[in-house]
Amino acid sequence: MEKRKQPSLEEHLPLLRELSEVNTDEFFYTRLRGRMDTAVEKPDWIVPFRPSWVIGVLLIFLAANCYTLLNQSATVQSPASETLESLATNYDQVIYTY
Amino acid sequence: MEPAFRLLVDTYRNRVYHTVLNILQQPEEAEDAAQETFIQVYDSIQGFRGESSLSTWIYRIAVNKALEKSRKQKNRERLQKWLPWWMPEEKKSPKATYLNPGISVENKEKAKALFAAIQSLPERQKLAFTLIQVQGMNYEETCAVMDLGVKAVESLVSRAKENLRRKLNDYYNSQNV
Repeated sequence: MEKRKQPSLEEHLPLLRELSEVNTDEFFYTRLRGRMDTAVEKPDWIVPFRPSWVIGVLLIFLAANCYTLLNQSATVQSPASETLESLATNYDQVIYTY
Repeated sequence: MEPAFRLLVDTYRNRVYHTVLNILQQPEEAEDAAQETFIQVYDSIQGFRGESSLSTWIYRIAVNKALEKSRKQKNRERLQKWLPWWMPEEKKSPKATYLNPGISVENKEKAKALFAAIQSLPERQKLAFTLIQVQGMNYEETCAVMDLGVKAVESLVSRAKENLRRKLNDYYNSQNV
């Protein structure tokens, strides 16, 4: 299939001369005044519910959990060996491993 | 102050609206940005020291409001993409499907491709290109509005054109596939 010739940027630029000025309607001032009179500054997001805040808090929470989990697994010995060793110590015995 | 403010709004509303519409390509968002521009003008007119002309000062506020809206839209789109459950339907930003009424029917497709490419330019390139090529501002005025030197604006426009060439190429390649 034959490829269509691609129009260059220079072929597009004259389009911009076709643009007509788009105006607001005559009630623009009335709407503006209405907005100014009733304007109570309301943020788009209430601070604690801003996505960036929530994602940040979740990440901190996740990091704290990971840290705790890693520390715990490093220090805790397996219960089986703990029991066996304490049992041997209680009876003044030594466990030989081969 | 009221009659003076009304006079100011009536003098500049169309130019402000046209400027922000060219940047945002969405009539509702443009109306909102134009209103916010005049609210800020009203609130901060006491701080206007006449270092630039009144029209440049108002344009600068309008351009900043439009850029703010544009950034918010981009953030919203990013959020919708990554967390679709987070963003309620009514908060979703409308797609930029607006086309200037002056565009003739046979040029609609080309205009869509061109404006989509302009929208995807980096912010400062988009702004410089829009003010000069779309809005028809001269370099001097654009430099004053963007608070940049002539060389910097020329460089932004030239880079914008390079990027537009590439983006239009990509667009037509994807259409031919």
